[in-house]
Parts: sequence; C-alpha cells; structure tokens
Amino acid sequence: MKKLQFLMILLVLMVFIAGCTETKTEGQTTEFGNLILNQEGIKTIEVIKGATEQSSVTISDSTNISELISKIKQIPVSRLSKSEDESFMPERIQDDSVLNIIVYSDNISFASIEGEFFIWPDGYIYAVDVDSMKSNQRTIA
Amino acid sequence: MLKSQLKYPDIYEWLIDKADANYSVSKTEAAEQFVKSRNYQIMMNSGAGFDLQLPGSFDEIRNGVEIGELLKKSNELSKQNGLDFSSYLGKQVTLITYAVYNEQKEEENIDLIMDGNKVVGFWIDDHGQPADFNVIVNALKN
Repeated sequence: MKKLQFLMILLVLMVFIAGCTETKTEGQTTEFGNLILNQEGIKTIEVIKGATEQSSVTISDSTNISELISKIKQIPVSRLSKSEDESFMPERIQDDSVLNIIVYSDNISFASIEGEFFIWPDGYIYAVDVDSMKSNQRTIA
Repeated sequence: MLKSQLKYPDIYEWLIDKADANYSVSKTEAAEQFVKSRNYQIMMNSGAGFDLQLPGSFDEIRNGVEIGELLKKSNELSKQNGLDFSSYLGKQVTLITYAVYNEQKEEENIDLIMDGNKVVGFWIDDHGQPADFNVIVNALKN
C-alpha cells in the first residue's frame, strides 16, 4: 500500500514538474492576453508610429486602455520559427506605417513594460514576449 | 516572437484614431510652447487651427485668390524667424493662429504652420484685413 502511495505521489510530482517546465516552442499558439502582464494595472499605452520618422503618442485614458486590452486579449498568436521570423520582420519593421504599441503599468520606463506588439495597416499583429525580453535570457524568437 | 494568423485592420484603424486624437492635444501644446518661447503672451481663447494641404507651388491661384503669392510673402517673413516652409509645399500641415501680446504689450496676430507637433513656419500677420489665416483657410479648404 505504501508503495502504491509513493508511486501516486511520484506521478503527481512528475505531472506538476512537467507543467512548470513547459517550454516555449515554435508553432505554439496562445492568446495574446497571455503575453500582456498585469492587465488590470495598465496605466499608459505608448503608440509609436513609423520606422524612420517616428512620432510618439501616449494614451492614458482608462476607458481607451480597457477597450484596447479587450480587443486584443483573445487574439490567437503563434510562435514563429527563426526562419519565419527572419522572413517576416526585417522588411516590415522598416515600414513607415508600422505602429509599435507598448503598454506600461506606470509611466514610460523599461521596468514598467507589461506588453508590446507591432501592427500594420493590413492588420497583422506581431507580439513580443515581454517575459522573455525582460529576463536575463535572450528574447525568444 | 509571435504573430497573429488572422488580420485585424480594425484594430490598426482604432489605434490611429486614438493616436490622432491625443496627437492633437500635444500639437496644441507644442504650438503654445513655441509661442511662449518667443516671448508672446497668448490672449485667452484666441487660438484657431485648420488642417490643410499647402499648394504645390508659390504660383498657385485658388478660387481667384493668389494663395501662392501670399504664402511666398509669408514664407519670407517666416524665414526671418529661421523657418523656411517651402519644402512643405504640397504637403498636409496644420495652420494655427493666435492673438498675442508682444513684449511691448501690443496686440499682434501670429500664424504657425505645423507638421505634426513640429513648428515649420511662423510669421506675424501684417494687420491686413482679412487676416492671413482667414485668407489661407478660405482659399485652401475643400
């Protein structure tokens, strides 16, 4: 009986550890909301337009912030492979119509970044894994 | 990095609308800061602004108005203030006017041309009637 109990505990532990160590792999799909941290605490959204002649606008109205979060949080996004990333981003990032959206839990500072994405007039969204960006590890691409 | 499989142009449009609304505020603030930096005191509620496309040349005549000539003259005055807006001909800009007091407490009408929140043209109206702002807006509005 004790052996069975031990095996059960071991099984539960293995499932728990597997859950905790889930890796971020290519092709993995998630909802965009999972990439925006501290959603209830967002205070500022910075909208940066253009690649060469950038202009920046700050949105701090709570109604607008909530509306944007609700618009994007259920959008499914898939992790790109390195080659997909390289074929998509280098040209697009130089487009002057690109919007770079950064959401902050406080005033504009690197420490308070809770989410970031790029969007183009055709409507494609390119999300940054902020968790990975703010960690000491290389940003997962 | 992660990419959406579907397209959401409506979200892009929404963001542009919101950014433009907020941009207008910062444009007004930028204009007022510029005017104050030139030691003018803005008279209360005297500001007016209009988005327009400048004509393509200083030769343009619109609705019988020699708008190109007026802008050429305005640009000469603007150049005396260090701002040559000739490279903005044909482009979308915002024309802003204020009634101000100068350092001698005399009333003046001043006009600014702005590209976004950057002042690219600035001159003092010569007190002609109608005011430069009115002539330009009436000639260039659609």
